Amino acid sequence: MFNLAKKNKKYIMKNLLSENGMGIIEIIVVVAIILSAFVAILQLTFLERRAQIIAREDIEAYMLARESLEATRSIRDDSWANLSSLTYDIPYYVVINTNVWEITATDPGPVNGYDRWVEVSQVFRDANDDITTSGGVSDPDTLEVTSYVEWTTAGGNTRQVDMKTYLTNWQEYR
Amino acid sequence: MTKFKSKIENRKLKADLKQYNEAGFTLMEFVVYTALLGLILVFLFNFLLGIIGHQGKGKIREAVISNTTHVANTIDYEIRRAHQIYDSTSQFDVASGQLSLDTRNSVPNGESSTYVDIYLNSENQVCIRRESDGVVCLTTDNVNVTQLQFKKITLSDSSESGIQTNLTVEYNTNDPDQKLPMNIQTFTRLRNE
Repeated sequence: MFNLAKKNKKYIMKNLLSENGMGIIEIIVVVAIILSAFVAILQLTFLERRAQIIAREDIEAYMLARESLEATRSIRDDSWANLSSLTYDIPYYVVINTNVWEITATDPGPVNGYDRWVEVSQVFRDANDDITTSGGVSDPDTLEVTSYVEWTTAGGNTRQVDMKTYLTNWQEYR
Repeated sequence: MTKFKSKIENRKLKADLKQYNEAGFTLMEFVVYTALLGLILVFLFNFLLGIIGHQGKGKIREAVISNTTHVANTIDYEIRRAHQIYDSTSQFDVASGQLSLDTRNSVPNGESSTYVDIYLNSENQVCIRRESDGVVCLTTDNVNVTQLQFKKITLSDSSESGIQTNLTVEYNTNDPDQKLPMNIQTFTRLRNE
C-alpha cells in the first residue's frame, strides 16, 4: 500500500510537470485552427467579391453582344445582300458610319475595353424544313449570326461570351 | 501502521499538489500567452474590418448592377414595342438625353397610340413618363446616373432603324473609391409594332 502511494505520487507529479509543455502546444494548435477558420471565411468574402465583378463584366459584355445582333438585324433590313455576300465563319465587325450600321472586315478596336465581332454561318434544313446541324440542304434565305465578345477580366484571364440568332430574308416573301 | 504511513504519504502528495497549483504561470508562459492573445486580437480586428468593408462594397456593386440592368432592359423593352421615335421632344447625342417614343403599349382608353418619355431628372435618376401612368423613376435613390445618352440610328434610306443607348450608373456617395461606376452600351432595333 505504501509503495503504491509512492508510485502514484511519482506518476502524478511526472504528468503534472509534463503538462507545462503540452499547454503551449495545445494553445498554438487551437490558435491555428481558429486562424484557419477566419481565413476560410475571408476567402468566401473574396469569392463573393470576385463573383460580383464577373457578373458585372458579363452584363456589360452581353449588352455589347446583344447590340451586335441588333445591329446585324438592322444591316439585314437595309439589304439581305449585306449579309449573304459575306464569307462564312470569319470575323466581321459592326460599326456606326454617319448614323448607319455597317459591317466591315476591319477591326475598329475594343469598345469600352471589350473586343467584339460577329460571324455569319450557313444554315441547313432537313426534309421537314427544320434546321439541322448534320446533313440537309443549305437555305440561302436563312443565316446564323453569332456575336462574340472577349475581354481580359480584372483577374487577368481572358473571358468570352457569345449569343446566336437566326436572320431570314423575310423581305423576299412579304 | 501501514494504513497510517499511507495516510501520511497522501497528505504529502496533497501538499505537493497544492504547492504545484500555487506556482501559477512562469514569466515566459505569461509573455507567450499575452503575445498570442495580442496576435489573435489584432487579426480579429483586421478580419472584422475587412469583412465589413467587403460587405459594404458588395452591397454597392449589387445596387449598381441591379439598377443598370433594370434601366437597360426597360429601355430595350420600350424601344422594341415602340411604333416610331418622336424626334420633336427627343434629345440625342447629349449626356443627359431624352428619348420620346410613339407607342401602342399601355395606351389610354379611347386612344390608338400614346407617347412615352425616358429621361434623366434633376436628381440624376432615370424616369419614364407615360401619358396613362404619369412619372415612374426606374432607379433607386442610392445610385446616380451620370450618363444617359441616346443616338438615333437610321437605315441607309434614312428611315428609322433604332436607338443606341449609353448608360453610366454609379453609387450615390462622395467617396470616389465607393462610386464603382458601370457603363452599358447597347442598341435596340425598332420593331414598329
